Amino acid sequence: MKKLYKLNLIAASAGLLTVGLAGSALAAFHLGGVANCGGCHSMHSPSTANMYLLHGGDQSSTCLNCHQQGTTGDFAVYNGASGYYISGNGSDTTVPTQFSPGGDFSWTKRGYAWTNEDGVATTETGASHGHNIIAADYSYGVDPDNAVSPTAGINAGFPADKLACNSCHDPHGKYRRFADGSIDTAGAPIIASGSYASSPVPTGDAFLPDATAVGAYRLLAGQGYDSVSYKAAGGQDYAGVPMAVAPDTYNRQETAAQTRVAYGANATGAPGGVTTWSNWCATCHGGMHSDVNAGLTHPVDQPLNGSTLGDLSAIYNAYINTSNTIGGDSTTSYLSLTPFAQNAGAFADLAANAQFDDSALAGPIGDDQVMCLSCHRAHASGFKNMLRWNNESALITVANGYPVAGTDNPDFVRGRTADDWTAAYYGRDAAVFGDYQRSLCNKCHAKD
Amino acid sequence: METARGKKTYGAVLLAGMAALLWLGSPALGKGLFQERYLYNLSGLSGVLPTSWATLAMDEERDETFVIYHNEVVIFNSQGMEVFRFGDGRDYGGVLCADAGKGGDLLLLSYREGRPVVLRCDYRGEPREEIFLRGLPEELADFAPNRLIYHNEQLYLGSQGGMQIVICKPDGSYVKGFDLYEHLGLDRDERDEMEFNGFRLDRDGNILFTIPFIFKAYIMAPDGKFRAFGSPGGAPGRFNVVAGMVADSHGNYLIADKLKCAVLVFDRNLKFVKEFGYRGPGPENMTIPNDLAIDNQDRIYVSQGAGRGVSVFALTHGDSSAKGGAAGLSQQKGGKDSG
Repeated sequence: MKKLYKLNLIAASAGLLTVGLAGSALAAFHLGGVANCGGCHSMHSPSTANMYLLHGGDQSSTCLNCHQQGTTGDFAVYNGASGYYISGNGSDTTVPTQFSPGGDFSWTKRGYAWTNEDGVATTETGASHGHNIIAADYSYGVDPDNAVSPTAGINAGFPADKLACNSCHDPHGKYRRFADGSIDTAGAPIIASGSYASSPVPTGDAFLPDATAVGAYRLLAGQGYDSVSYKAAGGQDYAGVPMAVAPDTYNRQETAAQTRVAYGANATGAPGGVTTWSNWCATCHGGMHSDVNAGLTHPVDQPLNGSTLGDLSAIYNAYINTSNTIGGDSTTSYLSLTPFAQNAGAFADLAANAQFDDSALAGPIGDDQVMCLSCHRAHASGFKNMLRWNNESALITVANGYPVAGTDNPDFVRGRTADDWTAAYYGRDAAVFGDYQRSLCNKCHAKD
Repeated sequence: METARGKKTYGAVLLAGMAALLWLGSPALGKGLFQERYLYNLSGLSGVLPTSWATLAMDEERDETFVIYHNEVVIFNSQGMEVFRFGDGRDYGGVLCADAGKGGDLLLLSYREGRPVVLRCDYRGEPREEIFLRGLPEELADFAPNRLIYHNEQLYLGSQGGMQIVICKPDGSYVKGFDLYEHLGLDRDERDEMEFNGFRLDRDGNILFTIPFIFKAYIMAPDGKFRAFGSPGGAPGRFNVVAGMVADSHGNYLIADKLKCAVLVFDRNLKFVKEFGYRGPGPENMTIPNDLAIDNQDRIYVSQGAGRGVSVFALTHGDSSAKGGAAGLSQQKGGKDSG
């Protein structure tokens, strides 16, 4: 209510002829749906570089006008991690500074070079760390390695030279969630963001008077999405919008407590317009989905207790680290480096787990599911293939510390500084892991 | 019916009106005479330095500009040419900000094991002293600055994300501090979104900063009294996403707006004067201007995104005190030669 009041107050003061960010404070800018038009478009003085009357030189630059961290910062001390920043100060010489669960896009600018143990000069490109959105104003360029989305599979793939924030997010925020959990682009008005644990609960019948809706999670695109700036052959159509709830504070380091985004699935029949996380990713990466390449890819959207390998949820709950693979407890086993999708249809169930103070650390139960985001971040990470952990080396830690240049195997160090490791693991001390921690694949497989 | 006399009266009134308009536009008020002119971009021997959102600082005594970018401090002379750089590959930690200290020293804001430290370096960037903050009150125990200004033998430190400002003696001992949430009456519940930008001092020692989240600019005196102005919108004079802020020699306030890609000018009475820049390919255009700095010749330095580096503009005010521009440059060159 306070933010709505602010919206009205400022909009009124801005006047009818004012064009620009005549909205509320920036946090309430989107308000779960289409924002004030002038925040992104300029009616009379747009950028000369694009044809959509945008303020930015391109679509993603327009987003980053507000979502790029504008101040200097050191990842270890930058305590003003504004919730809405998704891109920080990462570069060839500086460590990214933002810690949203999706990841800081500037990891795609941070590459590494080292001489491997055979004496061969080796590199890990920044581009390999995430989705290479194009935002020329902010020095984000086209993916140099992939012409289309990797493992496109059943479709022609999404062209890398078109990838922008609005490839995945609907900038106009038309997708909305109703009281029954279904998603549509029309119906009851959106009254607020639906992304947070504190988001209001939508009410009424979607198409009857007095009903209310909230925005789809993170303005993600859904069924029938067809962005104006890129029209794929046959349309860039998602199977629906996936379910999730984020804690109210989420852009933070996890030094003392984890940030838990509660991801959802609904194996027993999702409401209209809703899909699973992995199905949603498969829009562009269809060949990676186990439904398409059955037996050839790691399963997704599958219950953890339905694996041919046994009940993997039990392994997840028992696993603490390499040094203790059986001593865990299902009430405290959650690890944000290996999240899972709760097979819960109710958003209230997700909201209860969307915490940032370790008050909800319960692990998976029975048919909770593995998904793409169990291993990958959505935007970018400090590791190759935007994995949540370093999966390029046998060991994550060496003698209770992150690998150290000049001391440990250079192929474990991979050109990284101590700050790189700490930032990539969101502020975690190496002691959280085992003395000689192996890959976090073992959280579900315990082969270490 | 109009008479000849009536015509004369009408003419007199018209002339009086014109005279009044001319008077209103007189230099005494400043408005309408403010002009900016693009000079050049900060450059090295191989051309313009394509920095993005670099942090700026000025050494007014030596007429040098510091650009802090990717852990390096790059120093430019009064003609905007790089003369020295340091920082890369040395153990400064992450250099967040820098300023000119006393007697040609350089002050770098960095961190040692999570603690903020001001490194006092000589003119070559060789560290001479580590200055840690001392005597901070309990409510500022977590103070994590990322901006630094040295002025009148005091260190001004700002934590943009923490919304805190601390003033110290050169040895790091605490003098006073401001929690901007409390001081400005802001809502602490919005701390996940709030931070200030800008952080400069004007010639009277007032602290200048903006808070883009609430579309406001602030002029805060050392005793804490402040003036705030700004309202959101795209019309000339309104704020979109405001960033750096400086004051020129005439007391005009200049504020960068990242979304408008422009610099907004307000006079000493906070009356809107003009905007300049705007997105485009021309040298006078801007792309996402962020940090601003100004030298003692009223040349304004605009740090931008998209690899557009730092553009320098000369400001003139239509009176004899204007120092920027070609005249200013030649004067300055003569001064340098004689020195």
